[in-house]
Amino acid sequence: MEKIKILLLVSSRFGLPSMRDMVQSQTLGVVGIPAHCEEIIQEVTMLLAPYGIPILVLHKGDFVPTLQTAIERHEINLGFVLYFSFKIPSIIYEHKNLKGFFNVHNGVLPEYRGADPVFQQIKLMEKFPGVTIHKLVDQMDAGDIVLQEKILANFNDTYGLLFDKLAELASKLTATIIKMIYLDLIIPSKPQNELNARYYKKQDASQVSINWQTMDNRTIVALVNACNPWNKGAVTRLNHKLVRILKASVYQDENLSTKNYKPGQILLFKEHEIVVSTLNYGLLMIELIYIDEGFFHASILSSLGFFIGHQFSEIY
Amino acid sequence: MKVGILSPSSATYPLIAFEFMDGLKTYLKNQGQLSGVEMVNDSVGYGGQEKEIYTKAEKLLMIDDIDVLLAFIDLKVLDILTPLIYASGKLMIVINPGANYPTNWVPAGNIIHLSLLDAFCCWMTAEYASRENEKSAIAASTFYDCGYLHSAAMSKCFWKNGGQIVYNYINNNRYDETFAITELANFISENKEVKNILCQFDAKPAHLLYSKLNELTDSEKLKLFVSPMMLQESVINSSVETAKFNISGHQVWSPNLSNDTNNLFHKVLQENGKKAPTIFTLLGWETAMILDQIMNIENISLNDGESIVNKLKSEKFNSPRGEMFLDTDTQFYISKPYYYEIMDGRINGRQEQEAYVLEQWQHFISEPTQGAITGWMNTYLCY
Repeated sequence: MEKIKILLLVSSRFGLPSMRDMVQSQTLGVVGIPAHCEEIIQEVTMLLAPYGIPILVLHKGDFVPTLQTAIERHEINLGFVLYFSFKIPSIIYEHKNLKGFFNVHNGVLPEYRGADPVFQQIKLMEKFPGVTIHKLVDQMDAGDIVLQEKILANFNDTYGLLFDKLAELASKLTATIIKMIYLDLIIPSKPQNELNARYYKKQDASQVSINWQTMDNRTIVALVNACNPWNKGAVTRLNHKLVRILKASVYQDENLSTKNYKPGQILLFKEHEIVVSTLNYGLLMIELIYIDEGFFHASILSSLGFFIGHQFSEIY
Repeated sequence: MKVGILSPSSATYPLIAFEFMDGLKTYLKNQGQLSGVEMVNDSVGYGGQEKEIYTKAEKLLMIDDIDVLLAFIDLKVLDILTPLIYASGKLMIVINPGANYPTNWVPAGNIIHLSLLDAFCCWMTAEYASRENEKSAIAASTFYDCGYLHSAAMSKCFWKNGGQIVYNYINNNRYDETFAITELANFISENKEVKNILCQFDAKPAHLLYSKLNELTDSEKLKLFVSPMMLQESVINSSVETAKFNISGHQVWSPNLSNDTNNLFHKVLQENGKKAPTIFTLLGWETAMILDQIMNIENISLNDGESIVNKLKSEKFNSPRGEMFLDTDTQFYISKPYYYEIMDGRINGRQEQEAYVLEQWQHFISEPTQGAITGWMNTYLCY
């Protein structure tokens, strides 16, 4: 059986568990990382130092010929993309030396196409987030599906936690594809059902902001988790102060009446947390916040001049 | 309906494929459905050769154009088949004794599992062990049995409920007159306070273990919490009168169950000139019951395995083991196992209550197995 040599393209930590397993199975040939991903370059360089596996630092203007040369020079015969900043042209993924070139997407396809499916799966409270491996085509995330596996969502998972779980799942799935190539099996695939396709753009400021008038407490908790840690929380405003909520949970207290409170109004200060009224007479317990002064328990707001009855509002 | 079958082989259970097919065909014949099911059969041996299994499954799906794939394989080789099954869209029924369980319980849409729930029975038996006043136990297994996750299920449940494994014993002897349990016997003798043994042994070594334990001077103190194969009728019948110690455990079926469906199971097999049923005949019979259900679904495309699965989720059926249903979260068929206790030469058995089984099932599937897992590739009992 022919030795497998993989070209791995990564821009984030998502590819690291797969890279670890490829090193262990001695199938990793070259790693390509965009030049602007300095932290990842540093981390991968440190991790691969003992193994002598080359790392290509890629620039948007000339990464295509660099990859072409690498495929030929290092006798690469299989390619994986795990979260990569540049669009890969067909001249690379259809290279004659390759037995396959696959994108590993940290979301369920075709329902979660786009740049950040982890954020969308948490924000939309997807019960079964997952990883999809598909063939590369010109259109982003639209290639035929080879393999997909889902996990049971934990409502309390932050972006960071789900990201890591999906990264481990991705490593399991890439191992299956590598084994199939090693056994000289043809990799079957199935076209995506375009009727179910949804594309999400990279989230902008409006998508990480709490709208107290339309979001209930569960939706707010989901958004808070989806913004932790990368955005330092979901964004809201208290008078003129910008507040990012990092940790919050649905709160229940039959003795606490929300009848005279509007969504976003503070009802209660506890030792560390505060309780806020939400849509449909719901309650939200805010535990951790980020403000210009630093990371704090939410109850810090009382010492900054905020009291029961003060109201959080939208940033726009 | 055209059905492709990847059937097993076993040196230890040489009739495994015959018994499975006997159960499958006899049920369909009795229902008048045999002519409606075309079968294409291929052997996958012990079930450990991934490429061979893949190639045979591919042929059944692509060349023979089957509607449903029945694969008597273990979960370790399922991973490599998943892209093929996903691409085909057709229904796959994975059949095995259930000694392994998935690392991720969220199922693929068009794959369902029929098993003897071996690991789950081990889990429940360990839950019983953890109720003992004495919270320490020995974990004892064969070199073969410890290569399946039923060993992990037993230990995990015992730990979770406050138990402590104080000695791990793995027997690597041949299953013949040279079989010995020297190290285990020494530990028991030197640690008088330890009475509980969590055991996973296949039927043949189970018989030898019972026999060797009987020879120990203080074997009366021992309580064995055992895996389902240690409760097989052939093993228990020869041990029940002589065993000086307590034996208890769970299994999903015994030939002696007195329910109407089990009586019919025996009767129909006998009328068709088949030998007395085994666990493998049971799996064949139940597979046929599922196929029968599929044939009775109205307006369904056999190319759409996921839709078939969704229909099956709302259907229950009465197997010789009792009522069975497809768990919607995991797509594993579940039944209520039977608890057996062998004490003072008597066997007492009863079926577990549904509430208890469902509660334990939730505990069982909520304990994901993390990290690297090692073990045998071949299907449990196929060796």
